Amino acid sequence: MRAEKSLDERGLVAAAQRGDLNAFNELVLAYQDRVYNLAYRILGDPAAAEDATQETFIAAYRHLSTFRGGSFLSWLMRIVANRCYDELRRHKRRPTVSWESFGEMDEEANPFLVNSHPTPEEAAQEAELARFLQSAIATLPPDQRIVLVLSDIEGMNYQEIAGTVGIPVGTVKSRLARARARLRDLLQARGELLPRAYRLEK
Amino acid sequence: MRRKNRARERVDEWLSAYIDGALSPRERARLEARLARDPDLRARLDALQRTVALVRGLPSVPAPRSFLLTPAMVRPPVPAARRLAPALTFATAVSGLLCVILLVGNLIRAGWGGPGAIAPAPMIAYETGASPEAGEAEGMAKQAPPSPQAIPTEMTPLAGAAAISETAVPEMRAWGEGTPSPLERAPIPPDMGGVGGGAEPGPSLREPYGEPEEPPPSEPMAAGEETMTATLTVEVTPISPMPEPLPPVRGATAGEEATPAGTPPSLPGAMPEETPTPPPIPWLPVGGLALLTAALAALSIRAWRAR
Repeated sequence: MRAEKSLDERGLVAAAQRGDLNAFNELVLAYQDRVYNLAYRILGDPAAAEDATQETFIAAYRHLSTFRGGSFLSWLMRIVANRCYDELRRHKRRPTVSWESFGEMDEEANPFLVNSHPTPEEAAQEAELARFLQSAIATLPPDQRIVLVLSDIEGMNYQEIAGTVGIPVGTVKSRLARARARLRDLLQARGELLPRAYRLEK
Repeated sequence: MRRKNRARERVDEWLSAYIDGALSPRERARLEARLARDPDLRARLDALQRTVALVRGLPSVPAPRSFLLTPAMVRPPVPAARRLAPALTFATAVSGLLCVILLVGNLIRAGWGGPGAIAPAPMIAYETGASPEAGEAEGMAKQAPPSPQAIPTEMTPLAGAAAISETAVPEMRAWGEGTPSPLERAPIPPDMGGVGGGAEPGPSLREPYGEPEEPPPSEPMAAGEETMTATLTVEVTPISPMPEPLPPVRGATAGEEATPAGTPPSLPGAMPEETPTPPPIPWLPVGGLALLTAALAALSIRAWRAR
């Protein structure tokens, strides 16, 4: 997991468990970027990710009594990951950024992927790479996609992923390997669309 | 082909776990030995490591808006059962009311409240009918020729009866000696027929007329005053049920003669004997409604308690 902000998480959680909505909202402000990012990477759709994020915080507040200590962020990530996973399986959600249309995709299609960068050229290359990768991730089956995002974007270890998704560690390992290999094959097959600096040379 | 794919998947699984440092020392040693002598395997590992590095290097996407919660967002939703609670409570009240009405109504019909439970109907008719009819009689008294023996309308029935019996005696005697009694000629005057000449309940309704009526004049009456005489015959009738305090005068006999002419006894106590066997209580609908009320009440309580 990435480093968490210094914040009296335990005290805020205890206050929120007593019904203090302001205390809970401090936790929302601290973790909403992480929650939204995970939702966006799994769902591949900004609007759906917004819905999932809001629903996650509402569900977390309503079920605060079931939180039994440990990392509050991990608990939130488990809620949003499962919500997104259910959403993918229930609606067979198609990504708004399709892999096939990647070559013709407009730069403005997803403004959230554009990061501030020292030089405009590098910024543009990074944004293009990000869009390329996101569209490639969106082609993965849901069970592989969620494991890849939790591992390589959220930085969870196998045990944490197994606990979050509710599958054995061995299954995490094999699904992650298949997801990475599939992504690698996609990048190699359409590598010419990537900026030269990021191409996977055989 | 399938076997080849399975072997390839197995190698990718090893390479993936190797990147994460998740292989056992023995597995890692075996893989590193193979990597040292297999350039294709090294290329595959390199491509996989770069792929993972690219994904891990993806920028974090910031939340496009604030997701702060408002009290309205976290208000617990009203459960479906709770929404039905008011309707269920209303249904319980209606069912309970119907049950009570059915039960009480049938109890009254069956006379379970004793003889007094049945008497009220005629008594009410008496009381309600008394005041307007008394007023009407008053009016009649005013229309009648003034007489020095006129009895005030507020006189009590007993006193009135006594007064009538005293004053009526000469008149009755006069009827008995002379022409046939006006009762025989005209038992019910045409102007009274509308009020009490109907049928059985007549006497009790007609009773008030006896009170305000003036006694018959002691002088012999003119033929044109026949209406007043007829009125007297009617006013005598109510006195007949209570002859005890009166002396056995001929006026009372005349009243007894009048009774079979269309005036059955009006005492309330006589009525229960006339009623046939009371109708049975419809226990099935009453019980069914009671059960329905109980079931609805239980459902209402559960609905209100639903969370």
